Amino acid sequence: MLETKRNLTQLVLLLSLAALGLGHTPTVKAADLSLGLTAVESGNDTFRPGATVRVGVGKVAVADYTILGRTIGPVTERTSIFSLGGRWAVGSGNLYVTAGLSGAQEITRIKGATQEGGDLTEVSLAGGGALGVGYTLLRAAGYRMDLSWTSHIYPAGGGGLLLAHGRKQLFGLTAGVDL
Amino acid sequence: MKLSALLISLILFCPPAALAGEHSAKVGTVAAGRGGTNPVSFPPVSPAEWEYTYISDSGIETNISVFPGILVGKRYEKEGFYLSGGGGLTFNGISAGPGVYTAFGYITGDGKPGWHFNYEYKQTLGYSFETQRALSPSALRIGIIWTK
Repeated sequence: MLETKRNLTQLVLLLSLAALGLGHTPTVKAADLSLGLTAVESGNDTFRPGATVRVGVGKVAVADYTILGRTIGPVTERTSIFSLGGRWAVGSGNLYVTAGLSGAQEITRIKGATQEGGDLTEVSLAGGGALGVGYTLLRAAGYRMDLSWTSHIYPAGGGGLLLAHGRKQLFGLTAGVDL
Repeated sequence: MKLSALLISLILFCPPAALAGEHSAKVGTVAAGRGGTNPVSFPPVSPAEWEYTYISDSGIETNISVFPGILVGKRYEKEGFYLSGGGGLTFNGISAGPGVYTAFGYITGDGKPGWHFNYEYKQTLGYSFETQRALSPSALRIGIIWTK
């Protein structure tokens, strides 16, 4: 638990410093960088907190990285979700759609689970697509705040041909700067 | 079984050209509070796999399905792609409650009238007052649509 919290804290601090520094760089507003909190749901109607960094390039491309984790006794879980795709405005307002590719990595480590007393680590990878909708709550003076609701859909091997899939839903609130 | 037969009959035997608006019937998989989905059954006789959607001329859509529920919203279309959003009654297999949804879809046919393929993913977020828990069923479906 402490390790996960430390990792998340370091990530947030580093990205905050980067965002503040970049925010004061006199550049054209061709990109944006945001940080935020995300509630992650993995198909079981249960939400877990995560941290998100989002980089937008131009008006049409966006990359998201979300990390979350927890420790229960000897078991530590860490999940990373990455997506890269486009974003398109809907109408003339602040609503937009995002769509692209998604990847997820889940690491589970159990302390002292091997016969030799070492840690047992399992790594799971998944690839698929991401579909989402976002709303820019605020955009002024080079700063922005967004709400987002994105589903990451991962085909279940050969069953994907028959639409079998796993999914993660991310509900995010991010704040950042136009670069 | 009876519900799926009713839905299939509604789509196959209802004369869509004689009705206003557009009609879509889709079949697919749903994630309803139990992790990932199973493959779609073959033949798809489970009512949980089906959804019927009516889209009015003004872009208001009415979605009728067991999962994620009965939902009404607004559809925005552009070059075959569409985004929908609205609210209604969501159901996750254990309990039901009010909720909101967004859907992302694509319709073949370049906007020409007639029967076309329809691909859609729908995500919902609701709340059950009975279980005092969130509901977030979603559905990935493929079907046909009658467009005007």
